Amino acid sequence: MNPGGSIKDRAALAIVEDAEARGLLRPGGVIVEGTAGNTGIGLAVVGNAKGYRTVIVIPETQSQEKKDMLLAQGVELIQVPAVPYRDPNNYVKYSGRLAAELAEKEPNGAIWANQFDNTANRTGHYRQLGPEIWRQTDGEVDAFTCAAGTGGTIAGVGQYLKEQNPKVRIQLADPMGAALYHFYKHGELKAEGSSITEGIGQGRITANLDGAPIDDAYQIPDEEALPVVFDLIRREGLVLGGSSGINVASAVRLARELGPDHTIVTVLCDSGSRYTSRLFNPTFLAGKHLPIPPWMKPGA
Amino acid sequence: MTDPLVSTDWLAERLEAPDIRLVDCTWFMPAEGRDPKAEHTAAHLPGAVFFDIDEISESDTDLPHMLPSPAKFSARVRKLGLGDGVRIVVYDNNRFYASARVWWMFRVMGHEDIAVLDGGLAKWRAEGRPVDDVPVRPTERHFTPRLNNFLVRDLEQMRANLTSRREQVVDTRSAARFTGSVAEPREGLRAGHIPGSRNLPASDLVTAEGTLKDAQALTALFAAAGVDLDQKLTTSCGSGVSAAVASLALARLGRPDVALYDGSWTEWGSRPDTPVAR
Repeated sequence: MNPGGSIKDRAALAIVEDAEARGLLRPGGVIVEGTAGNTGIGLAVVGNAKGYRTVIVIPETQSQEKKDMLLAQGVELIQVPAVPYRDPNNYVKYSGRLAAELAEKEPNGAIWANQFDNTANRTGHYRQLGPEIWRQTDGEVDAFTCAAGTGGTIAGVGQYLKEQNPKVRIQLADPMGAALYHFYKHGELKAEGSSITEGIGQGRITANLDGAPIDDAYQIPDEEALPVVFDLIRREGLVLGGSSGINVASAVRLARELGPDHTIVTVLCDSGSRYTSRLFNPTFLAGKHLPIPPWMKPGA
Repeated sequence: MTDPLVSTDWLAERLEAPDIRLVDCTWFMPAEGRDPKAEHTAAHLPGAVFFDIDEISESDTDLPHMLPSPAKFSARVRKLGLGDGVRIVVYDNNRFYASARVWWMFRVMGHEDIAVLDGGLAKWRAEGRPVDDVPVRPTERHFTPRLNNFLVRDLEQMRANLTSRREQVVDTRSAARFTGSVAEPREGLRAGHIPGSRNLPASDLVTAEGTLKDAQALTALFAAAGVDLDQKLTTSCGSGVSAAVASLALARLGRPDVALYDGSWTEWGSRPDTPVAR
């Protein structure tokens, strides 16, 4: 169960438990993260359940839905101007500094979750999601595919599955605007285009991705992923976020490539409820020349 | 249901459409001694490039015109200007040899926006429509291959199917070759057919004018051949050219998901270890 509503609950739990095991966090301690998305919610779930304070630093441009959710969870929210990563006041860097300062003062410890480069994230998926997939497919999984944000899921699951069976194919699904597709295909970090998906798409090799056993990569444009999101609603009843659309579109491509009699696994990262203003907004989609849910088209 | 064929009328109205690319895929049996490339140079639909199934094929095999690797396919077709985002219309001057196979090849490589010109060059010319001999110099266009292996079967999958019987096999060679009453045109092949397969010669699917028969006639033909249109289906023939005509016919009947056994009888009939029925 993902009580925070996304796969990031797993990463959050792994990061916090790792900090506990290393003695960095004791009841009453503080968890700090710079995140605009699901990881903040996941950390708040874990923090609340385990008795830690959660401080989330976000760019002030973030949607009100996201801020409201974090506030509802009782998170201490710090809003900073939206500036590029190279700026020392970027929200991620700011959260790192804040965590270091708090670690000095807090009697029960403070940690910087640092989901991108904290490999407890990847280890969590190696220990939990990987074995889950192996068990639930009775070891008959032929391939695993998903997108990378931090890279924790694909690296952790990939490593576990490869250890069970080196033939399992690990296929990265990269949205447009991310640089990993070119890296795994041609050895060069290079991005092109853009995507409306959130929480995935990476421009660098994070510590979590470093050494990940990725066999091959697909580049999935939004034009391909969105119809999949809409199909999942109409045919499966599942209202999911854009990253799930990228993942399922990749699984479909992989299924076609591998042909009949293969078992392919992917993850559905979160529900679509947080994306109503973009993913399910015909005006927004039309403005980007993207596919619109057929039932939302004017006159439908 | 989207019909995989377009009519000469349909195409004539769209000859100037900027997103349509015409492709001449004419291929003749070796014994016919004709040179489709030379015929293309002499007369082709305006702007049509030539697609040679013997050249755009896997070179690392003894089998004729096998499906090439996605890398080779995309390298070749991009030079022909056949890339992402274009609508391809394929035709030939030999009763769907080999426009049907090229239609299948593009779909295996993930390009679904492709149609076959019904009646091909013969019908086009019979209707007095324009052809020319102007050399065509296409602008290169990037092609992203997205392999769809559901549409291809190999020897091992065909072997496995002998016991699983999961897919019905439709063999489009002539009845005489199917039953083994005549020798195969290619030397060294055994005579007969894959056990359990059904026979429906590709020539039966085409009208005297060289158009594909209508859905009603096709339905009756498949039924008469014992082909169950509700089952999973794979087509096969001598070398994967006429089998694609049956795949095209099945797509007209709402079955675009039919696989093709690429090695076909040239592979199956040449091996000492494959069972053969007569």
